[in-house]
Amino acid sequence: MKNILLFTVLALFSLLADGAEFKWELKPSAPHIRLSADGASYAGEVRVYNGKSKKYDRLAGKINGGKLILSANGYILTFKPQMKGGILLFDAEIVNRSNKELFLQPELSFSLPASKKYFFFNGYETLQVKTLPIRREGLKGRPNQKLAGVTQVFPAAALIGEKYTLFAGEPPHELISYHAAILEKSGQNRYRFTFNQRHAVAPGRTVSFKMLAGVTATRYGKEEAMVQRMFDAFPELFAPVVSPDNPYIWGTEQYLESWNNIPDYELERRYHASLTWAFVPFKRAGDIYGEADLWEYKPHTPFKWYYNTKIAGEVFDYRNLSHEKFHAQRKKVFRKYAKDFGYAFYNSAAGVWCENQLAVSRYPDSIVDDTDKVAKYLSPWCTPWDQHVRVFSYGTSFGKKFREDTGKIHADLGMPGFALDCVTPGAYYRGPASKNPDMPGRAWDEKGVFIDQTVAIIKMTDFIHEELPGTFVWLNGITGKGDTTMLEYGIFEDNFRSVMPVVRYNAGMIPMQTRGYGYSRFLYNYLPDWRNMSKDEFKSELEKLSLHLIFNYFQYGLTGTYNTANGFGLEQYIMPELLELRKIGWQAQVPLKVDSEKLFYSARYGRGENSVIFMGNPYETTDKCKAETGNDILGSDNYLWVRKMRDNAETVNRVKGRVTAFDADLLSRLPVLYESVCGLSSVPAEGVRVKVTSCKDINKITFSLKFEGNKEFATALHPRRIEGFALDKVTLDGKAVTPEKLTVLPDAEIVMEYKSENFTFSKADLMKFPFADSSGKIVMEIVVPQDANASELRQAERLEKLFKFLAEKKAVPGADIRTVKGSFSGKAAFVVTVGRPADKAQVSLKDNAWQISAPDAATADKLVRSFSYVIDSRFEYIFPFKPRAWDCLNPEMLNYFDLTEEYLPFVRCFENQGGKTK
Amino acid sequence: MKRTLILLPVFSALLLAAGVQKPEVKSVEYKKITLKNQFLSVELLPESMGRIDRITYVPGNYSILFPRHMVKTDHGTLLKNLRGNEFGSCDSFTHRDMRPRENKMSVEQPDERTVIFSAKNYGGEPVNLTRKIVMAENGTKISVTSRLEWTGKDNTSVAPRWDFFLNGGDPLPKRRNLFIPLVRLKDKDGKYDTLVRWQQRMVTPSDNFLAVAIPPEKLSFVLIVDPDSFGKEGKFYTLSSGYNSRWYWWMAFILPPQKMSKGDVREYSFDAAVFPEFTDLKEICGDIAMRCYVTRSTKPWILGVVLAPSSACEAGDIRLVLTSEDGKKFEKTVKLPALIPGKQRNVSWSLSGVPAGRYRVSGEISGKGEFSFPEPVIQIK
Repeated sequence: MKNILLFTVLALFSLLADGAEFKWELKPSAPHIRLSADGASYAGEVRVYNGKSKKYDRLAGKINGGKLILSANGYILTFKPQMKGGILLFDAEIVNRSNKELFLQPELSFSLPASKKYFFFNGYETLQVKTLPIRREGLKGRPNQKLAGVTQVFPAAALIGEKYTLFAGEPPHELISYHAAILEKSGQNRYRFTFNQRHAVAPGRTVSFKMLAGVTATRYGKEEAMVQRMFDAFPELFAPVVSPDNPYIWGTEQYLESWNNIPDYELERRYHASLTWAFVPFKRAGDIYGEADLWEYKPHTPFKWYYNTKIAGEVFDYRNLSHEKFHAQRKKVFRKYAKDFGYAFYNSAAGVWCENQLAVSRYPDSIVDDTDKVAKYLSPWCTPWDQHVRVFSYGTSFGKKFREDTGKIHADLGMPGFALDCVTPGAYYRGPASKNPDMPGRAWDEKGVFIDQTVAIIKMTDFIHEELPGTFVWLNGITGKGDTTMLEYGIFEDNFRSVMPVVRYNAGMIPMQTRGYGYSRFLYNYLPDWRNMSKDEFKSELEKLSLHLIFNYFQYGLTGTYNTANGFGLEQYIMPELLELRKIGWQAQVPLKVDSEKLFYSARYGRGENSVIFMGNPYETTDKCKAETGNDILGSDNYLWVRKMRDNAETVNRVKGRVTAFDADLLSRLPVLYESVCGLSSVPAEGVRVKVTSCKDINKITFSLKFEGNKEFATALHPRRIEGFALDKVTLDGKAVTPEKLTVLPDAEIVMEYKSENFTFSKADLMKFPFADSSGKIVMEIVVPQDANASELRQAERLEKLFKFLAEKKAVPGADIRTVKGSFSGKAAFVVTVGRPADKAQVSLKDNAWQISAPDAATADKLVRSFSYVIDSRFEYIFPFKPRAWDCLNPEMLNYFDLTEEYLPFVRCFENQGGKTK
Repeated sequence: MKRTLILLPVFSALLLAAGVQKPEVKSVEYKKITLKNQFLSVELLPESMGRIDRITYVPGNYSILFPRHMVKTDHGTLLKNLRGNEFGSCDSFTHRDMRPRENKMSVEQPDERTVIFSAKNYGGEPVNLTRKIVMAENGTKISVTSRLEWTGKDNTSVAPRWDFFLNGGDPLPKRRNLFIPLVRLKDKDGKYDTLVRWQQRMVTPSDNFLAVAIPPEKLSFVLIVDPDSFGKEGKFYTLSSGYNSRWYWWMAFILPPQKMSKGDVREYSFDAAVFPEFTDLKEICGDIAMRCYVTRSTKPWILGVVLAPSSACEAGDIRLVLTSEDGKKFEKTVKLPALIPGKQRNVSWSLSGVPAGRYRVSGEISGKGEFSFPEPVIQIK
């Protein structure tokens, strides 16, 4: 007894600094784990099911060096605990000391009193506990007819009680081929909640793996609390791998329009598009490079003209395209457009499919034979003349060549990213490489050893990030570490509801786009009586549908494409905020309570003082409500909020304990945002009342905090981070102070001033600048140095096109704008210099000219793009309904209502002075 | 005294946690119009394209059609999605699927057996449609006549169709041999057709009707398309599939496409008939279901023809014709008494004097038209 106590590892209760909400205890005998929160205790056991004996193995346990060591006949299992965020993480390993391969299923298994009040999140969905068992076994997922429709399971499960949620799982992106979450009855009035993994361990080998468990309060949703704990514990695994400065991943995508057609930079900029799905730039799946000796082959069906035969103006007609011409054309296309339009090379799915003859002749070891809920063959598909077979791209002959080709292509074409399609789990590879004892992710079932496709995809995303640093990975689906992800369902499609929110949980803070068919197909069924509607009735229905999209975009941090934007003014108007929030990072748990039933939609972006809360009231009337934020969920401070507006706002906050309360405006059918302006490390026990005001301009942002009726108190103040702005100074009652250590006197005022990093002029300067003559025609010069470099000319061209676009669309009467070399003549002008001595990234207004300078070409690209959006605020252009492509609102309807050149009026909900459009 | 009053958050208990609110989900309750006689009860949905939703055989209380079941999901007033089985029969057009649509129709009821639906821009299409549904007086059928006026683009190909979704029953009859008639293919001897059972495809049949027998209920359900409307290019479509763990059968007819210009009018009609106690249906003459047989236990053999009317039929004649392989015909005309729906009538012909050989059976019923049995091809020895 004494020994056991001595070896017991007992962590301290309430490790709030680490975000832990529970204490844990590890013991050498079952129950090995005890997780305790205030008033609740969960006993867990580490068990190992032996896949060969079909029984649970007897385990002898001891604690050594803080590790739980369990010995069984032939192997040793070690669990090394550590707290990570609010999660108890086990670094575990199995050492096979026998001379036989072991099929083992280690489990974390908790026993607890039965209750019908529980909910169970099995990794896909949250189910009320009615009929047991609930078993989610393996990664096969829910079969779906749509390609990429099998959704990856979230790597943790949760038993959700009224007060606490017990969860168990593994970190994301583990090289694990099988894990399961099970809730079942266990004797009378007891439930057993189990999370397990399966490992095939070769003789003498060691397999390392991770498991985790935790307890969190069931507040603000059901599974959301657990998912948030996972986000908080592994933020790096739920965020893009490439740098946050990557210029491609944070914009919208426009799918194929910049690929099939000759792309137009100014047009794409106005859609905020920054990346393009460069679909199938090869003749034959599996030969992405286009090797000479693989060029001539007999396809499954004859080569034909296909919708991606034409790429950026070049014809890739494989009926008569020579190998040499193919390479020359492809290189030309990528070299010309890839960097401006964020071309993501469509990488033969994710190395999941290969043309069948090629696979059979060159890579037979790589073929995946599994047909359980997955297809082995695919035809027609991306190259419609081929029959494709499923292959495994890691540790196989195909994997080796595929990696070589990926590197060669990148060197050859210089694309900024790769597009990985079909990144879904659920296909089991059992070929020769699965027999290699050193392969990761070896699992087992009744048919023997297998490795799930998930493992190969994760390794592929890792390969791109590790071998081609800075290259972004764009996933269709969520498996592996992506930098941006596409959800290939439109919000009006039933599949969208079926995969949300688990897809967002898996994506975490990665930017996500939806790509569906917009209104084109949907509207005929949704508004069957459209021909009997008046124009106003039709527009009213469109407006509601657009709001539904917008609210869902904010709810899940999604962007759409031109097909839902054209004609929908509000969607175009809110895009800067939507993109900003998406970059701040979507969060699972929204620690918000309101006294209104009109809050149908809500979301949270960012953490701590950088948080933003979205509220959406879809009903016909506005509601003023009391709102409270649970600050302990957001971070370690208490947070002060102000309505997030483009100009100015004022919100009265009341903070007490770990709660901030304020009166919120739930505007009818408009998105409402509240941003945290700062965190206060402490407030008086009796609370404080603070009026927060914001005042925003192009060159400056000011937040002021006016305390009302408070006692003196000391606190650290953590100001919000604002992209593109630097905190210039913090003053307390007019005196500059260090925010880390403040003494706040009664009725004090704190002012935080931020300065733009790039722009030195105000909105007023912009609005009064003489861009145009008395007729409204733009008359400007763009001045570049006499020896202008390529970047200077490129930025000049972009500025020219900005105004020519406006003239072309008749948003201005005309545009007399041209680029001149030499010096500023005194006429209204943009003066552009890039890479000249003393050039810093800045746009300033001097005399009659906008002085645009940047130290290098990449910075110039970014700066001029940002400045272009600033100019847009003076010369607003809203895309009308006129379809950009077939998937926009149907011309039949547009013509019927004569809507082609119109757009829906909208409320400028993020501006005080904007009001309604004409 | 210094003011230290703090307005504290006191309303915690009253607040609701934010999060993803669940949309409100409700089954759609449709307004219904019912036509009823002693045999059939027919339910129509005036708010959903004027669909024929249910046809119930009253004596057995058996619902032949699988009723429409739609669920409305209200996403906070902005989007009200409708999803469900999309059953319910109405005029449709091949280029637009009307199954999910829910247009209201104007309704007239000139008498208790008749409903006339009409709609401008029916189903959101450039079509003004009037549909008349008449329940046969004391009969086992309803007659449907639709008149469409095209208001869309000139020279548009329009192919009207009707889809029916039948209750698959419990127990489910074998999925093979489900639909009647069978596809007529040329026999290898080139003189007679052979019959191929078919389950699930588009076919161009040689007859203008499509039937399904429901043995557990001892009845047949038949779509009889007006031959002029059906023409030579009309098609049938069938499928057996599942919904909510229950089988359904999908029977459809598709009329020949016709180029229509603005102002063009097209009219077509069909009957949906139920034949009680009749599951071995082989032919339809007018609206009379028929089968035939040969008794071999006595000599001379007797050819029997069984007739089941779906509407009252006055007394008349039936002409029976036997046609041999070499084209010789043997005929007999038999007096036919008045036929009453719900009751079958047999007529017989003693085959004395008919030479040995193989014969097809055909004929004509006065006032109803000709008939020709695909089966049996009788062989007299």
